[in-house]
Amino acid sequence: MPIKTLESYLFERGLVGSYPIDILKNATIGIDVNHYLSRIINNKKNNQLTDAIGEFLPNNLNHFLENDLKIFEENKITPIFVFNGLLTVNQAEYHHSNARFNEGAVNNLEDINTNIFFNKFKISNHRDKAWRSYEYSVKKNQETYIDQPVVPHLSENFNYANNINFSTNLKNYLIRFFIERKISYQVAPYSSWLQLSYLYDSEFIDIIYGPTDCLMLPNMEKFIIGMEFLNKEFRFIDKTKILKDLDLTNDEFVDIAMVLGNDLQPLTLPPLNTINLPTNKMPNSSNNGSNINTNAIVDMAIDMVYNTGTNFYVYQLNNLLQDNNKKNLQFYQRGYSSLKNMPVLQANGKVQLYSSESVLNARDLDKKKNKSTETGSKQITADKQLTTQYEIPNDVYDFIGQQLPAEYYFYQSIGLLDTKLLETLTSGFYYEDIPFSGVPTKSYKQLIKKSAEVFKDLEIGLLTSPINRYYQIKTIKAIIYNNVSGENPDEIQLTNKVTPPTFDKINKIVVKTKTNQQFTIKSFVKLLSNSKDLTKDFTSEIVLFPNTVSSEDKLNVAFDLLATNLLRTLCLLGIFEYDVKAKSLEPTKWGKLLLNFPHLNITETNYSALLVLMIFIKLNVLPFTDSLETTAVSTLSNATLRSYPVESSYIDILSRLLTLYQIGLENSSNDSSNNSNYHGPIDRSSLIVKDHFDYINNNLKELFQSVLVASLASGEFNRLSLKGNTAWQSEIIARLPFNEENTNTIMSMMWEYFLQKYLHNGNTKTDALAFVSTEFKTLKITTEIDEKFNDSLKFLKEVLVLSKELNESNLMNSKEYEIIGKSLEFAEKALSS
Amino acid sequence: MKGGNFSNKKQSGGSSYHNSNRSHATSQAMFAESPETLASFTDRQDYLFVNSIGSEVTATLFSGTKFSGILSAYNPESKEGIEIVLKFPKLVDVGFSDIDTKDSETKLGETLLFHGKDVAELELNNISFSLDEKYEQANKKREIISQQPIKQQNTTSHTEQSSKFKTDVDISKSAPKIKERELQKWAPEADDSSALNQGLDDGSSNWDQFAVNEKKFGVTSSYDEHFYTTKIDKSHPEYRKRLQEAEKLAKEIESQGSSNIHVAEDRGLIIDDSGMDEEDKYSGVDRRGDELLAALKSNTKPIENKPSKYVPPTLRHQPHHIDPAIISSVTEQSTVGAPASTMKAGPTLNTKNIEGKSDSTKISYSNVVKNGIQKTIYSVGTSTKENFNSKETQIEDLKKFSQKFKVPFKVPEDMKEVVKKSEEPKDSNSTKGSSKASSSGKGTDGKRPSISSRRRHATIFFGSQGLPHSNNRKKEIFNNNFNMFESAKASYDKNIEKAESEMGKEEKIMQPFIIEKPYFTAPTWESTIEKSHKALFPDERVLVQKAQMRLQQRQMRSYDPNMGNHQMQMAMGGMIGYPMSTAGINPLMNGGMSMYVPMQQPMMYPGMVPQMVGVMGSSGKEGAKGMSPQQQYQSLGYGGPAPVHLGNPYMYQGGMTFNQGMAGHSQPQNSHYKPNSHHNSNFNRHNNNNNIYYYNNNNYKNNNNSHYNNHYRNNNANGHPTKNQGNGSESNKNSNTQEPTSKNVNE
Repeated sequence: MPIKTLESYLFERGLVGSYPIDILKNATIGIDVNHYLSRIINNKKNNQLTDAIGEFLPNNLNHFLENDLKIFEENKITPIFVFNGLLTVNQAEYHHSNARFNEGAVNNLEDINTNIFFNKFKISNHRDKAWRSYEYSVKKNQETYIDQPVVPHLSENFNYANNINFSTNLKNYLIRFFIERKISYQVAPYSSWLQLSYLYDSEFIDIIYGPTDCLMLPNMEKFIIGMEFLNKEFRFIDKTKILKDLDLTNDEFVDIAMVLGNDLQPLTLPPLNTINLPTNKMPNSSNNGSNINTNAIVDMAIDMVYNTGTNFYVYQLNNLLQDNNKKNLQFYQRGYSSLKNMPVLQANGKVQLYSSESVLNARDLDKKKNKSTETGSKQITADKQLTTQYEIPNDVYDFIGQQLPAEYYFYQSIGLLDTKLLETLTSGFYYEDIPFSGVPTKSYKQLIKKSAEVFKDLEIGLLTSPINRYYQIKTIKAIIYNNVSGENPDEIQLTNKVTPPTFDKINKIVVKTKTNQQFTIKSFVKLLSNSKDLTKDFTSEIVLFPNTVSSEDKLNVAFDLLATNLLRTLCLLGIFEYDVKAKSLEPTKWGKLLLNFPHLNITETNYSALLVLMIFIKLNVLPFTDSLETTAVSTLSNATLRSYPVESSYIDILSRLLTLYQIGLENSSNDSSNNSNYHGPIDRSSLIVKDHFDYINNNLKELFQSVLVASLASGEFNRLSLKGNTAWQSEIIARLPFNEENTNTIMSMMWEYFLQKYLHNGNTKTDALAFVSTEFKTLKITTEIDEKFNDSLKFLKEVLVLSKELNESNLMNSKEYEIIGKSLEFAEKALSS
Repeated sequence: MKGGNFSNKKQSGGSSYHNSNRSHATSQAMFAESPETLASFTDRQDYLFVNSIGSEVTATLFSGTKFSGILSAYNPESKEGIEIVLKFPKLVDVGFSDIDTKDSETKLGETLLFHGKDVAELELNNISFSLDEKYEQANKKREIISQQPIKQQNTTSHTEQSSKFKTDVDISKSAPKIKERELQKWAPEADDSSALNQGLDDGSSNWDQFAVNEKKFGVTSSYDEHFYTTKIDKSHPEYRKRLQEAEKLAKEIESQGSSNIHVAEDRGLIIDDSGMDEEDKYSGVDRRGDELLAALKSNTKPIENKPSKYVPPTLRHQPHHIDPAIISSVTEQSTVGAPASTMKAGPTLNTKNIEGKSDSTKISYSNVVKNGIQKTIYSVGTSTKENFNSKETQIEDLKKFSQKFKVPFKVPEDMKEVVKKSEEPKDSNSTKGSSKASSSGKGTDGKRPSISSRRRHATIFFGSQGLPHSNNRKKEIFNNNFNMFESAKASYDKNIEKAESEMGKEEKIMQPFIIEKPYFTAPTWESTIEKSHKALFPDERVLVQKAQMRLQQRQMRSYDPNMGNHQMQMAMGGMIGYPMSTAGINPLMNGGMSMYVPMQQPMMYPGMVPQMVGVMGSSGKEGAKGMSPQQQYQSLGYGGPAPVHLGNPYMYQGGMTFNQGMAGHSQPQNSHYKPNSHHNSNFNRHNNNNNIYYYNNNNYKNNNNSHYNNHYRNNNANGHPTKNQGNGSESNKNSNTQEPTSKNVNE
């Protein structure tokens, strides 16, 4: 989050310079991903429905990324993208807490100055409201509506203030994207722009493309605030000029930034929070109006400094009598201190506290030294270490958070370990995300509760056992919200210590192939199913981690590492069974089914979706026979439901299953005409089911990561076998399973409307298909709609094959199997008519 | 005439030379000359005497008696000899006369008259010739010439002619050498910096010419503004209607856009004037479109980036650098190679500077040149580690200037491409080559400016040293770092190597390679002091003190008229900072500066400050309605003294009291104050509505450089854009013009 309202203020006052992009020729630019994305998204206000179809990717993101990278390439600019890492204490409190924070009318400002992290309850509230208003309009039309879907009104926006949900999924997606294109990236341990500041100081980059927060850094003379790729121009901020123009010292500026609210201190503090700005109710009204509002607040802060010499810190100190103000003071202090002591990942791989101020001082000192001595040759930039001594207080954990081992930060930095898991360790809370569909349904809540035992306990146990004992004893809770406002959440205490430790139960499972093949779930399953004796092939007599084991006997290739840990993960989930005493590795019924996949001719891309479906069925929180009607208004018309009750239930089953199907964004993004802004029907009930699948997939991913990190941290893998971070990225990160899910509800909706139309239109396929292609015309996949239907039908058939097997193994209710079979029959009939 | 050594000792006044030991034998020389020539001699003599009035002279009478005294009068019309009057005469030498020395001293009195016939010799000491710059210039030039080969010839011809008739030129040629002054950088003195940049209409006092005239000379003015403008009849029944109509018209006119940026600015329109300098905005001829026209005319061959600015003829054959520093440096270099050039100072300075000998008393002119050269050196890329920290400010100035410079119109897209294409082959050369070529100034290739300008921009943007190179391996370096395992390995290898070299290769080193185990990391961060982060905050009082100090500084500065007149500052800065030609110091510059000083000085009234303080503080209270932080400071009693509102004179709340404070300058309120009271009412309204702390919010804004800004900020700060639109522009009008009509409207 940038310094609130400052950006528009600077633009209005003409304090932002601009140059053609080719000036940056040969430069290396450090890009703050949060800032970069917020600019893409804010410029294109067309993502109203991404949240409604359950997609974490904003429309056209791919397209913009590709174009921007192309321009970088043309100008020989090297971009280095830096992601945000863990949240500082201030940020976490603001993001996760449901407190209203005494912010008053300033909340409106956030609508204007959108950025990535938000109080998440604002987002969920917003989504819920949008859904309710949509459902209201559906109900109103229910009598007249037969087969024409109710499309949400154009003004309805499911994304809170055009906020893109900067989820882990998006981060992982982008990381894969960057790896594919050989673009350098890094996940900062904490604040991305402060990591960039470090990179700038150490001359890894020539210039920063970041948020206004960079103005708080004393070392930052110039940085880029925006790129106008169309005009081939970039906008930059010259700090000296701005401070001169505003007639402020650096300290005064930081003081003002701390009350305005910025990345490190997200609240707008008194006295500025009491300003009753004229609200701008119409989001579509002219920008000028909103800018005047937002600028007033900066003006006011500056005027207070000009006219009365206000120091806002002193102001906070002296207003402790009022309620909430102690909190305000605390927020100020923490924010200010985080600016001065921010952990950054240093070139040597260590995470250390960094203060740009001290670096600046050290440099001055250096200069003076150099002046007196002769001008010695300069060090090579990469070797340059910014080790400077400055006053580091003894309670950094109070405003940053607790320290984790450098190795964990390293895994985070390359994208191997999700920030959320690390956050759980430091904060002691695993905050469940609020689903796309808004309110968590009963079955969803049940799923979360079950997952605490199935996934979370294991994750925490695996992650805490290699690190400091403090974390093994620390209580860690999972927080489950019961409503969108986050009030009265359920807390589940997680078990971090089990005896014997989880890792000990699985560490003799080893896959050693020493092949160079790329890891996929399919290749993994194939390897297992080809084995005649799992115990013999995939267990080891000895553990691999001690130093006594020579590096040749350890895991040496990426495939082995990933396969070993996926096998272990599946063991933990009960798909395989490893008996420690008997030292035997056997597949369970589920496992046998999985091993049968290659014989069932399952398509490679469907492996992970079907694995998720298996876990879903195994957890048994939402049987296919259960109706969702109580939680969401059906998308099908009353006419359909009344005239074709059986077919309606078939349609329901099909739409649920199809949320697992990846329609794939590639089709739309490859289209050079790019305007694939989705606007069409939406469906909450499919979304609810999709949330379940997403949740399971996410947990699978997190569990796998935990197993992987436990293995890596213990030293089972020869960590020097991969040369440089690029090797880690391309061989491991790009191959992580459960990491690539990108589904939405579009295919299931297409089937719904297709079948509904088919029913009402005298069972003719062509009309129904034509109808669907008009309804979903904004998707730009209409030309190949037949293909899409056939492809998804193939997926459904594979599901049917799986459920048949499941049914035969008594793993699935025969009723469920039956209805899936009948639904599919119906679908096939409709499509082949 | 004898002697005539011009010593260039610099006096505090700055621009006058003193001619010491210059004596004149004043005899009625018996020249066999024509009357005209004689007359001209007389003229010169007259000039000499007029200039020597006030200086000490020694007169020798025919009696041999010598008197010294101050020459107070001289009779140019005397027919015989030189008639003079001496003040405070003193007897120096009795000579042959029989005057009693002691006696005479008492008798001499205050003035002494000499008849022309009595004066035998007159010795004039310390005559002050107020030489103007031109004269000095001429001398300098001649001096330079005299050191050139031509000198020889000149001097010989001079000696040949010396016995003959001398023309003016001859005489002046034979005049003694004039040494060049050692120039010193002008720096404002701490206390008078403000006066120099003062503009004409931003003085802090109310200068009333009529009042002063009446007081000083007893002249009562019959001035009536209605001689010059239409009288507005307020009693007219349709006055209101007319007023509204007038306002409407005014708004209409003002709301019209204008392509002229100056007009647009006057009308309070928001324009993007980045990249325009003062000339473009206010005085330059609008040349937008010239390029396009030219391109049309020769549409087969598009015109290259022509400089859009007027280029002095002397510079037309230079490569078209825009940066003045480069211009000067290039001009310097070209003079080196051109012997016909009469510049001498340039080359010497040049070589000296390139060698990097730093001279503490280096004149500012040479500094600029030096920087220019250094800059080109840097942009070439052979970055020698020369220390030029002390010049950083100047470089910064130069950078700013060139940042501002931008071709003030949009080049059409297709043009850009054409230009780009023609650039590309050049670009493929090493950057070193291309920029070197452009700075060496050889050739007049029209394509070059665009390249050098891009490079220059890049230099400006990244700083001279941070310029990214084409062999940028930063990505590689980046990818190979940030990996704790590899750095552990690297340091291990290093240790082994070290150990091996110490112990000898025979012994095997038994040092296991260990990657630090994660459990060694404590959950707390390493600290250097045993203190909480809360304890690291500065003391509350220190902070308040600091803030108050800054407040006072700021308000003192708000007196500084150059805040109020940005343009003036710019113009002056431009002249001081960037001599555009190599012709030495622009004579206008000195003149210009000294012209401003006396005019501005009367407008500074630092003595008034204390008088204002109390009054304004209290007025603040009234306005703030208990919401201002100031109020809180006071009520909480920690803030020390109440914040001092030294404010600027425009501050509306204090407007009236401020006038009272200016006792002795009793003037009617001038129209500056009107808008303030106007705002005041506005402001109060806001206070009531929103309870916002807003008082004095104009303080800063009125200081704020441009009227446009003023306008804009007022609107914004009030937060009611539509409501206040009219008010804002009105006040804008008022503060800019003293037009009677608007004055009336306001009332």
